[in-house]
Amino acid sequence: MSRAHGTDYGRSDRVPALAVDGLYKTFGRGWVLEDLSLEVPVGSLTAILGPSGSGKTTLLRVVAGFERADQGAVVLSGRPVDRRRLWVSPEDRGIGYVPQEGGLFPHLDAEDNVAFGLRRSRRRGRRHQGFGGHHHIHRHGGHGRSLVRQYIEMVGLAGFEHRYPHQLSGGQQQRVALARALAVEPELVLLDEPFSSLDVSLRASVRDDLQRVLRESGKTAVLVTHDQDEALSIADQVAIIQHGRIGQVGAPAELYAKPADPEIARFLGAANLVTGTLRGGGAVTALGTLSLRSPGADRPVDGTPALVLIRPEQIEISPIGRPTGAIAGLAGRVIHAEFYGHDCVTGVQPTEECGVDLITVRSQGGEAPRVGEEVTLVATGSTVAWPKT
Amino acid sequence: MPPGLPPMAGARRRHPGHRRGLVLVAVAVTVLVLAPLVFLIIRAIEVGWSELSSLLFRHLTAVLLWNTIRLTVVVSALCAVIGVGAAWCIERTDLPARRLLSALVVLPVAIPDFVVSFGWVSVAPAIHGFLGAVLVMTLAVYPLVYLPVAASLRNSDPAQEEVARSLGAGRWESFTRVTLRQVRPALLGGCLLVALAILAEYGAFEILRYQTFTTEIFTEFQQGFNAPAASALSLVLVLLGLAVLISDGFARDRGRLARVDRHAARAPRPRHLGGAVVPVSVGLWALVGLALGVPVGTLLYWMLRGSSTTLPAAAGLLGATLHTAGYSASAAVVSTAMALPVAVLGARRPGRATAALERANFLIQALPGLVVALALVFFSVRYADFLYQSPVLLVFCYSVLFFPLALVCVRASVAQVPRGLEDVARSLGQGRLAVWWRVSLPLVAPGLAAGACLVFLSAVTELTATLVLIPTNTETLATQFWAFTGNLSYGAAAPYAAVMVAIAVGPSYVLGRWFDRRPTATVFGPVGSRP
Repeated sequence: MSRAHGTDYGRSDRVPALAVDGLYKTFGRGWVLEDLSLEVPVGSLTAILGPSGSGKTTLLRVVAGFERADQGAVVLSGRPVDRRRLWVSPEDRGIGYVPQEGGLFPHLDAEDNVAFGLRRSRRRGRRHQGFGGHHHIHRHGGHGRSLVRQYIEMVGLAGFEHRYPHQLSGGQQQRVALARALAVEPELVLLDEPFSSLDVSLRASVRDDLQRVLRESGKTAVLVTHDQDEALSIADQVAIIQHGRIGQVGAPAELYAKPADPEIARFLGAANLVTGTLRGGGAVTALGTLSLRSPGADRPVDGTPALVLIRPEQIEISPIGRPTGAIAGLAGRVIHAEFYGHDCVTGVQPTEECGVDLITVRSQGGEAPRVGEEVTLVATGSTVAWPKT
Repeated sequence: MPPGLPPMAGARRRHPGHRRGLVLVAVAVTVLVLAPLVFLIIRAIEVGWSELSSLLFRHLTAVLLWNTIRLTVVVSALCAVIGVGAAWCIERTDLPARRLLSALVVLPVAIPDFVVSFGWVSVAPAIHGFLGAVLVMTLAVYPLVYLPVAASLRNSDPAQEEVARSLGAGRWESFTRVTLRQVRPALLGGCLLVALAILAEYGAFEILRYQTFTTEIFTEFQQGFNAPAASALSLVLVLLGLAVLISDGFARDRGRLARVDRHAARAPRPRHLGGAVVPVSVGLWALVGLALGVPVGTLLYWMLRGSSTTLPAAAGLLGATLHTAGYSASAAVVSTAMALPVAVLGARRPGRATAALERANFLIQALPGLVVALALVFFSVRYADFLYQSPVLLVFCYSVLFFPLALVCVRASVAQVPRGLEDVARSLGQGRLAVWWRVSLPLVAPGLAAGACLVFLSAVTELTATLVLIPTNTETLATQFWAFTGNLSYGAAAPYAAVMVAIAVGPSYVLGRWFDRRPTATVFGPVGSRP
């Protein structure tokens, strides 16, 4: 099988917790997954980020064993579970799965939900993964019920053991679902949009708890989401999924700073993609000259036209006439301005051609410019650019 | 991929065989259920068109058609008005003693139509003909509309009515434009049941001396053993039933409702009735008095008055009770077991083919019990003589006849076990069988119980098919009651009806509870957007 699209995550010598290689899956109309490859290092929290319909849930379901790949391989800790004729059923994969809405069993209370998979996993003697932090739970340590209690405590639901799912809030249901998945001591935890059904106010707290619990338990986790803020803030590794394959993998900061293509740049946050030319390891644009973060070996010839990424927070906005201390930037008129307290976002219509009709600027504190005001925009810092073909 | 590592323990090829097995079983069930329809058609072909047309195109057919259709239309309309009115008053207003009323108003569903008819005729022998039939049938079958409409009102979002009011619609306007729209599917479903019940009814009309297709078919079969005439009339009756089914499906398609998240719905604030409380209370208690009080009262009256005449029948009563319970319980088990594969297939593998398969099973609704029974008589006499007048054939007849009831209940509860739950259970290390036992079955169980109760209840109170298929030298409660009322021995008949009603009340209660709890059973919500 080809590894042409395999991600190079070779910094660790350890066998990855999950390796997916050249995966194909269709439900009859076109490929949902098309030659998708991905490696998830042991102990990491990997977010799979993609718009709806990009195949991320399907990927999760193939890894969990609810769907079978049409082609390609799924390997868990070095052991193939889905490859050609070989197929391991979901109950034998040692995977914890947290579906979108929690998927609690409505006829069982919180404690019984968490205990659901326990008996079997203890009998089968699933290998115990390192369990750090304060919660040092051993497979042979303690009675089954007390183990369940410890997991319920761990997700912060002590006292809710005998509530039924319909008596729990959405966030509590998610926590029980997480405790249930962890209680069987899986080698890998899969979370399918775990926060999408929660209120915005709840999301942050459940997200923090999830991150803490996963760190404490030392589990490898794969989380699927369409929310880039969520992915960037929670994960150690983010994999962007586009049209059924992985577009780019990396640490959140790395991805945000060096997106592989304009589409990913836009997907990871507000992006102004202005035209410019490459010159001497920098990009010259109407907003000023920016240095390039990765000139690379195959540096293009000077004067090559390029698409230059300028993040809104890289732009300084000032009223016309006032000196900015830099070369004169791009003049424009304020179309809209939203004040958020900690910062404000301004939309500026440039008065000269620069490749975009509206430039988004994020400036810290101060006052928001008034709509209709004439302003000057100057960009600073380093960035990435893609030569135009 | 790191090569050379052995596959995990438990690795094996997946066998898709279990799915094919499910399809085969579901198809086999459908074939069984539709067998009576096939026999009916075979019989009609044998009789031939010339004889059929000479039997059909005569004055009698026109009379029967007119009698049957006008009764169906009038009773359905009355039941719609009474059912919706009573449901709204009980579910949405501050009427005193609502809880008690909501229980009493449903109870007539447990009283067989022919017992209601018997009650009225024994009190007022003058009641007969069209008006008598309208009165008796309306009082006997309105709960078929009340039950689904009340359940639907209980679960519909009151915020919609509030929005309507805020948009300037008055009380009446918000009722007609919003509330009625919300309950429309339930109302249509209820009216469908009413119409089919009237097409199928025999006993009540026989007592009331009102002639419909079903009574005429029975007469032809019983007296003249005129098989060609019976099968010709059966064809018309089945076509009428199909017409009802089709028009219902058509009306339903036009009135589709967007599903609203149930978790968001508040309990509606009861509407203050004010001065209207007196007429509304009087109306509802009068309904309970007429629909429940008259049949139960007459049964008690005849039992007390005729206590001397009923004593010799005590032994017969026990035997008949055992037979009734045995046949009905067997049918309940068989019917529910048959419904399960069809329901699972429909819920798990949605598609045109499975939808068509599921819908095919509901065709049997268009076949009155009498027609099914006659088809089975035809089949057994012709192909399997040893089955004729055997308990097996009677139980099979019940199972097929009430199959749609079982299927509706089982299907609804299977649909409430989202695929996701089973996936989660498997990821927690449970095998296919363990998942079925520990997750699916507990969640489906209430629906199975409700389906079995509904079939049991219907079989206990079934008269027409039982009269045709009853094994020799055996009596059930219904046939014994029928025999005694035929002799005008009301005192001897009453205990049989009383036991029948008593047996039927338990399942009715379970059923009422099921209608109550059904929509709140799931916490999983809609299965999310899956690419």
